[in-house]
Amino acid sequence: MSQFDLSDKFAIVTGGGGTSHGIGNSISLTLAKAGASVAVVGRNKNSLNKVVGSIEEMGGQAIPIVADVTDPAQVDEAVVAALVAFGRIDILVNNAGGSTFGKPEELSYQAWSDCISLNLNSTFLCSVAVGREMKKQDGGKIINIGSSSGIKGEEHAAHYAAAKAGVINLTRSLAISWATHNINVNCISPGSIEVPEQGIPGMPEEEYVKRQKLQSADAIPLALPGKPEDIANAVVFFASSGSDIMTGENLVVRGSEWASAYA
Amino acid sequence: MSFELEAFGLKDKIAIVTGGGSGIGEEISKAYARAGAHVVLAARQQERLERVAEDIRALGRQSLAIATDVTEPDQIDQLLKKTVERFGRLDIMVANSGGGGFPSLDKATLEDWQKQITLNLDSAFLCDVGAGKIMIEQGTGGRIINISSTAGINLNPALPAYAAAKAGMINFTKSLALTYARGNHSINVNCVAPGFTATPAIRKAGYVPSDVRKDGTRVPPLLMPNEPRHVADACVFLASEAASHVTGELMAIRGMMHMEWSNDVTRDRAHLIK
Repeated sequence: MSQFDLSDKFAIVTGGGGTSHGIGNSISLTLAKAGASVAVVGRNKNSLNKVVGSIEEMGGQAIPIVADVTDPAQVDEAVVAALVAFGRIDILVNNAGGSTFGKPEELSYQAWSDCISLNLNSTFLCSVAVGREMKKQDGGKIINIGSSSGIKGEEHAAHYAAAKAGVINLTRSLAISWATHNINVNCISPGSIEVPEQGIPGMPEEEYVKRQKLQSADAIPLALPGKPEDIANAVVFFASSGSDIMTGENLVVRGSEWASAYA
Repeated sequence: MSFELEAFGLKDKIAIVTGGGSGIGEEISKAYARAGAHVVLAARQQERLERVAEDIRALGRQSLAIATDVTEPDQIDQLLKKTVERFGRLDIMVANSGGGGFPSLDKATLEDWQKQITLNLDSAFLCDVGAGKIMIEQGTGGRIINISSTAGINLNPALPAYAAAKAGMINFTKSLALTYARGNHSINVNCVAPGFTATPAIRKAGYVPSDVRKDGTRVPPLLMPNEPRHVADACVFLASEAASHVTGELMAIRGMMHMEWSNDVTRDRAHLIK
């Protein structure tokens, strides 16, 4: 059996049905391909059903759970729903997130706190709700989706960058706190990820067009945005026994985009 | 539903693993073979290499054992040449050879220092760049994985030259990754930094703490040292299609051992790193 096999594992993916963000979608499908049963959590019932439908079409097992992961009560209900369906939770992927775009001095406090809530508070709420169950069942894998913004900062998304830096650091604190309970907590930080037909989430149109030109003229695969599958495959790695000794780590998946951060 | 292996597989890839005759390198080599790769093993002791090569052949994969001293540039050239002669190509290079051993700093000479840098850093430079040339020429990309150490991230007062060389390796990984990305060669270069790993030699020397505490309770696995397979599994991931957008990165392989064991363990095992 492969060290990356997830047969007989039960997973929750938040933001798994988001239509504007292909990463959650790809994570849900890829975990199912690896053998896991997946509870796809999100706000929009129709898009959740779509992902669940695709998984069932491949012969996999999935259920939709409608919940707003920024609301503590809804998070608790979602975890109960997953437990009722599956009996246990082996894998939690905190993928729900997103951002508006704007100069820091023009951000409203509302936009700031909405962003912290969506990206950081949701990760905290889901992790502790699922973490309590994983402690009882003596183990599990929690995978947070950070962002390279959380390392290098972001000119037009200071709120998002701060929230994601929080996610990366929360990963380490949870890892230390729960190492004795066999709960591995790791983070994957994507750089730019291109979602087909949707551009790059949060990126202004002109920047996207510029990148597309670069892509067609002189494509350097490792310098271009990644694909949702690049993140989904890393999730499988951290969900599998292949990463059993890793905890508190942050794997950055950004091709050679990192180079500009230090140039 | 069964696991679809393709993205994590290494079917028919040609890999070189230096230091492949024992410890972490042996485990990486076998994990690569199980994932479908043919593996060229390089280290000084031919006998050890042959033993691992036999295990790989038993897995239905091809293996070539080439006695190599990685501190000798000519021998690295020969290793690369023989690999291409036999297999016609090279897809994966794992620069895993290395080792510690250093007198106390007040006695250490420049020669002691240089020996460590040659073994741990120069060897990676030669293997990486030599493999890179072959990969560029064949035009189908490739993977280079440098095996560093957590000593290269933090510190190791007992092995300052080793730690400095391993830190150099982490940084060189990034320069090489960017060079190959800019050159549009689709060669990913990454670094893996294992912490204290319970290799058979370390285990035999009695340096692996028991997983049962004095009160009879078990030490949680995340508080124990790495098993060699933990390092190998990360190396399979980094060599596979699943990691095709990962380059210039550092993956530390370590649990939370420091939460359980006193510093004595890390201090005492320092001289054993090989």
